[in-house]
Amino acid sequence: MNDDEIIALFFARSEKAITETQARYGRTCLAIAGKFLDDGRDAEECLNDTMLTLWNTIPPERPTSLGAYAYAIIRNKALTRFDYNTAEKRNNTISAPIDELEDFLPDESVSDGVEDRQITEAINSFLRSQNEKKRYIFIRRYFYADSLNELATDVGMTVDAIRNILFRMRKQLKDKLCKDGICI
Amino acid sequence: MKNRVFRAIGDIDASLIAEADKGEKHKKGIDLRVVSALAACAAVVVIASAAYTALPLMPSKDVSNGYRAELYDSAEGFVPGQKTCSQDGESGTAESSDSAQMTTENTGETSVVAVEPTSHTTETGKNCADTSDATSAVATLATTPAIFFDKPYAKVMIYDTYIIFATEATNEILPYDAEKCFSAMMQSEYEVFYVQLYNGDMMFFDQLMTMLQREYDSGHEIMTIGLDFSVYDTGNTGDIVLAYTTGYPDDTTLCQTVCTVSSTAE
Repeated sequence: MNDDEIIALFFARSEKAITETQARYGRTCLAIAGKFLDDGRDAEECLNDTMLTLWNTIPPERPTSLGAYAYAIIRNKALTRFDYNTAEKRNNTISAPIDELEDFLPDESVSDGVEDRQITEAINSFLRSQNEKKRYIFIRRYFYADSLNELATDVGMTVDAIRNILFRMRKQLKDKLCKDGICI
Repeated sequence: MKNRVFRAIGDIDASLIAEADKGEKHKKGIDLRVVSALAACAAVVVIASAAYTALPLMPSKDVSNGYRAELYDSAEGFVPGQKTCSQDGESGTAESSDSAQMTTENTGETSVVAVEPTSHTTETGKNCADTSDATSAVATLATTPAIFFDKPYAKVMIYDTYIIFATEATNEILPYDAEKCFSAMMQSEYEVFYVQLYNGDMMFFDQLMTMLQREYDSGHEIMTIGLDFSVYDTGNTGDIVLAYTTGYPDDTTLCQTVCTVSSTAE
């Protein structure tokens, strides 16, 4: 069943929409949550919450890509749970991708009054200015939280090469954000 | 919230997320496989023809120094790293004047790197030059590199027993002449180090050559397969990865790393 058909089920308020979404995107959703959460039960819980959010938001939303929409939701939910777990020192999940950005663009460097939406728009613009391969590497690392080894295998480059590309992209992103008045 | 930027990445355009979705990518697998198969066939043809046509042009290990010098003389725009070494046989220390001090200045999008010779004393335990004729001959060969191929998108440098083949990393597919040359190199007896330089960094080729030459002559194992090149110790004595990144937080520190690694590793 394709995205349009599943979304039609959501609009028809058919519970089959949830089953079909899980079948099509559940595995990737769980994998994304698993990147941030050690405990599989936490990831499962995020998946269930994501399905509920999908149910509650479609309609009126009609995402162009149901997968991307679901991934973004579960990523945010997993991050929220990650924050909760780390605050309580309950979790030792590797947070390398977050730390890489934290080192480069700490929250303190973001100008006062800047809205998250502005940051996202700047990132969208930055990513569109990159070639497809770099964009893929960046998004796999910082959206899907892939490890450097996974990425290296995936794109057929060395870990060092991936690390260098990401380093340069972080630097370029910082320059872009500063140029747009987002960071100081 | 752990990091606002990381969080914001979660809200990027769905089209970008979908583009990087492996599941979506996988759907194009059949097409990609067809393309890959065609590319593989083409590569076989290129390698075969390159081996046939270009290999005889390759200088072999026993090529005379004169021929190497002729190649070198014909090269344009290359300034080899000048290496002068003095020996202290008893203490095993060597003084090298070719160490590079790098400074950078950012000019918008590009980093400009200047390499200035500085005096640098190392304790490598190896002598860069020797009074014996044999060692001197090796040292001479190692300091007279020859450019074999010199194009804006790819350069090839031949040393005594090894070859540096450098290309722009943006060249997903090498131009035919460079591909042909690379294939020939791989078929030769030389040890080939393939280096991919980042966009526009071919201008730093000369500096790379100087660094590689110094490390190689110091007896370090060189592994230069990677995108940029900077220097770091792999943790194994004698293993050094040369890599160079103009975007390091502090390129002066990078230079110091070059010097430290080359002076402490066995």
